[in-house]
Amino acid sequence: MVKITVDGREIEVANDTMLLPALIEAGIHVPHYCWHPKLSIDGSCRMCQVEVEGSPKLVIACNTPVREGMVVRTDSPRVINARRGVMELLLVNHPIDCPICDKAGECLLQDYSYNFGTRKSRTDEPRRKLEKRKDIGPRMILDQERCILCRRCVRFCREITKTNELAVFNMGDRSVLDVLPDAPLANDYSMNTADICPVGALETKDFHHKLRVWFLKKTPSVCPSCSNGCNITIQHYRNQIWRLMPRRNDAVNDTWMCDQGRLQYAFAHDANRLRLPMVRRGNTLEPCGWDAAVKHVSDALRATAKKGGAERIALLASAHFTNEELYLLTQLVKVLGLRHVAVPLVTGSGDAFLIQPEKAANFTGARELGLVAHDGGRDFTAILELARSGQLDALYVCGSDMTKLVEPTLWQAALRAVPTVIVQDLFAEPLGQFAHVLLPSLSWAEKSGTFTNRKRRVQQIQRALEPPQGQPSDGEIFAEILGQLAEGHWTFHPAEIFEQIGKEFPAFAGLSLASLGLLGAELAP
Amino acid sequence: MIVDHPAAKKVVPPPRREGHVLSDAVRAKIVAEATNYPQARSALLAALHLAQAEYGWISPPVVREIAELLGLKPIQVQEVVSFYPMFHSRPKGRCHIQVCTNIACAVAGARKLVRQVEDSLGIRVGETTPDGAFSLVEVECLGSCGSAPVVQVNHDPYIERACAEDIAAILRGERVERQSPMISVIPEGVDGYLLPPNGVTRTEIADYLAVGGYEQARRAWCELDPDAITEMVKESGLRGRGGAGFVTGVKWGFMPKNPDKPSYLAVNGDESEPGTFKDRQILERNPHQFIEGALIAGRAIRAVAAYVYLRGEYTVPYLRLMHAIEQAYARGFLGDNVFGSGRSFHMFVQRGAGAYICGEETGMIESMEGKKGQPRKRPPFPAAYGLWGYPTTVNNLETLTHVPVILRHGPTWFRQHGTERSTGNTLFGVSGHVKHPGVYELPLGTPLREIIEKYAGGMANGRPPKAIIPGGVSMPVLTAEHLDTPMDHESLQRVGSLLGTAGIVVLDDSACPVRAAGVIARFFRHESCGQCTQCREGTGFLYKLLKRLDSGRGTMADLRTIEDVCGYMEGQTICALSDAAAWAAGNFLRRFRADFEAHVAQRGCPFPDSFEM
Repeated sequence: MVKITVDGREIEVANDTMLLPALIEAGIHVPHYCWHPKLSIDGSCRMCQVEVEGSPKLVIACNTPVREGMVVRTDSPRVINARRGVMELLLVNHPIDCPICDKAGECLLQDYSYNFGTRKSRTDEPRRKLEKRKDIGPRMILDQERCILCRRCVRFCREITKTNELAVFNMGDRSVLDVLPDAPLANDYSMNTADICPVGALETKDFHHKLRVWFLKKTPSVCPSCSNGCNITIQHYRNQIWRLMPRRNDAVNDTWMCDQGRLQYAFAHDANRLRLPMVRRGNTLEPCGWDAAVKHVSDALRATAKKGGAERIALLASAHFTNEELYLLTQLVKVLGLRHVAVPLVTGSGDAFLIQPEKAANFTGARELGLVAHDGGRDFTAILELARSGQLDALYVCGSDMTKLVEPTLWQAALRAVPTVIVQDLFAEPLGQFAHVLLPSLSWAEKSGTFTNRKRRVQQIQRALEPPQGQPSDGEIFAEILGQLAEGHWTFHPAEIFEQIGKEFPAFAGLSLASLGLLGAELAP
Repeated sequence: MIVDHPAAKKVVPPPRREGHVLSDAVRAKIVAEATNYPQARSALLAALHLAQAEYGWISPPVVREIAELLGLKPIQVQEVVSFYPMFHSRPKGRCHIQVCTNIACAVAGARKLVRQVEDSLGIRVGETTPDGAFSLVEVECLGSCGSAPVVQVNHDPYIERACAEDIAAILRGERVERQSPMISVIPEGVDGYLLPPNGVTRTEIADYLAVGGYEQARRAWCELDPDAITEMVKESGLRGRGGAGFVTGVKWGFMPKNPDKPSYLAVNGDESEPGTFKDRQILERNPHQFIEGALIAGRAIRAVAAYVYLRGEYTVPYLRLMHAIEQAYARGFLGDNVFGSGRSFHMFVQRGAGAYICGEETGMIESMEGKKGQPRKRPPFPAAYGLWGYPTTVNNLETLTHVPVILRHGPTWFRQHGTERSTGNTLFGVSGHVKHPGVYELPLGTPLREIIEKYAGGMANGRPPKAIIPGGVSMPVLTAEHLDTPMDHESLQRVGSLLGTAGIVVLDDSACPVRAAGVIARFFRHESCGQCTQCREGTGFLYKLLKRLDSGRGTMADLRTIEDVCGYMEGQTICALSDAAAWAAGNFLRRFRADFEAHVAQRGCPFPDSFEM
């Protein structure tokens, strides 16, 4: 650590860093455009200039190493004038079309103009005319007029994805950000360029002209699309998700997330979501009350256990459930003495960066909690085979992603052969037609709890969307069923259950939701 | 045109296939050129020159083919094509007419030549005739201010002192070929050492050897300790002739003494600042002395090779330099066994492509690596992280041409030339409203008045000098009251300017200062690399403000805006181009404020006889 003096205040900072990140770390805000914590230093926007004693010129804080005894001023008249200059000049050619710009409200050009600008324009010269709303890739559009040429996106494509789709062409005030016609910005992480764009030059097609950003509420969460567990914020308004954005966690995803994960959210407020439990009467499923549905399930499980023994019941649970929900399933397994349990894992393609082949958020959690005996897939097919050959009387299926693992005819034949099929899922498709009891499930955006990522890091998700009044969470359903089948008082409070997990599973010992915080913690080895 | 390097290895390019458009010969030259560098990408500018010469322009298939040959992505090629004015991403006329319209040429009537072409062909600047025969562009300074106005057709040698008859001949489809006028001289009574005797062109190695040439390079490689050479040059007080005037020996001293990786000498021959046309005289008339200087410098800094970056438009200087290098290789002065010392030292030449910013040392390094010539932020400095990331010294071409003389006669002799802190002679370029524009080798400290009146023959039209730019257009302008200023670093600093490249532009009282500032502002706007906010936007803004004043639309508030914008641009960017633009505009306003105000009061230009913008 070294001691430096900033605006008359002495602070301690790490000794091998540049001044700008050190100041940010210390909570001193220095405006900047081109600098980004996860990209190389560019040094061209000149917005982060500060005064350093002994240096005749202002220096850019982003490229000035800290040293012991350094005396820095971030608020001197020279610094203020320099910022004013950058702001006035950045606006000489900017279209100032904030009314139709998606970035308005979270735009650094707006914010810094307001805080550091001149508040008046001194030019009535025509502004630069360039292409607007240019389609530069399957998920991105570019407004060349708004671009302030900070080159964050160029460096992102060069340094992070190494795909080099974007470049600044021409020189001087004719400089323009663009792609080549036959090489669109199509990499799997392309939408991150919109996040790091300090202005509204790069916009995602997904969010384009959908909503003013100031309406958005932001709930920290974790992306459920694969086992990497990228930290995100769910941005929602009127109980609807408008976009997912990455949230910085240097141990997991830095400040990035993949496009695929980012675009997986519309299902959460799909109008076709199951919202009422249903029970089969003859050929049709009929809505019933929650109490009746739960009683139906527990009666069936109890009766089957009594008649043919736990041997004739199987439980299939998706790897999308939280640790807390899965914990209650372990209790159900214990209470009923189940032997046929599987958490089938759907796999797909991955890459060397963030995208993992395990296409579920919490398979590792299921394994830690002992729900995965060997290899998930083989257990799954073994259970399907038991069902198909008439050796099961009841099958409780929680989640339907596992159907992707085998040919439809295979799982369909299996489900048809079981007298009591209980399905707990988000949608009636694809399992509803085989169900005798159908219980609506909640999406990750509607519940709180924890996921354990592939590196055994436990991270919190928080409820962003309110489920319809009276709809219990999956955990509450499990607790209700347990309450019917076993002694004791069963409830579902994620924080309490998480503590209970800590007591029973040494890897979780000592952890609490409070100690996980926003960034999570790794399980003990 | 790219000349094969004397030590080039024979490389066979990958076989042509469907979609390729370049000939086998050009493909072979490109891959051979790539072997001159530690990284193939450095051959990009050469490859583009070769391809354009054959194909006419850089089409998307050409971009893809070059990218393939050099192991790059097409976008890395395309961004470079778009950056450099000499490369065309659209077809141009078979006869591509480039008229220099910067200050010296503007004063010499370049605008009339442009109009002549426009009127004869019925096209405007930037356009091509429908039959594809002719295209016309204005270019920013071809480095030939002493023989203005200058026109270049395609990549041919310049047509200097171009006149209406030349344009007519070009338009008739004739090729105008003309010897460059001999415009560099050592005035009588001056102990000159940079230029050969007046009237003599010393391009053959035998002629240079006959006057003791390469003796000092031999000493440096076979007898002297590198640090002793550096010490001698330090003692001589030699300062860089590229503009900044840094002490050369001190710069060499920054290089690692026991390098564990290769070090390089990078030579800046990209002179392209309006008013500056001196290095060209060395290359055309005395290239071997420069090569000898580079050899000595290379030994002093323990470099393995020198890479010379030459401005792309210079065709004759390039051919003469390559000829001289071939001769030096043939004699074993360059190569793997320099002067039989057992040590190796190579010299390569890269041609630029029309971007002034590549004269900035780190912009040049970027360009030499085959990238856009955008200056690097410092730290790190080139001595630690230069060409390809290796320790590099960047020296101006003229600077190195002094070095053999320092070794031959000793630092004390050298210090007898010039002033105490600005030692030696230099090549003063004089252009504008003088009778005899040209390059004059004179000791530093020679008074401005003496240069203009005695050597350049005084004012051309009998009108008094009004605005004098002392060292290339980036240096703050002086007025007639500064005529007695000695032309050395210290004296110029005392009157609020700088020596720069010692390229003096003299304007008489017919010239409108607003227009002069406007022409210069247009240059910096055109040449800003576009990285730093203040420079990218400020250079354009200044040009627009000056144009407003010139057209009579300016207000007093605009003058204040010019001052503020200059303030924003000064001392706040990665390189000094922004400062230069601000100094030029700001000082024209400061020194000629009354003339600026008159433009506002009279709603137009009060100089009826002024040159055109």
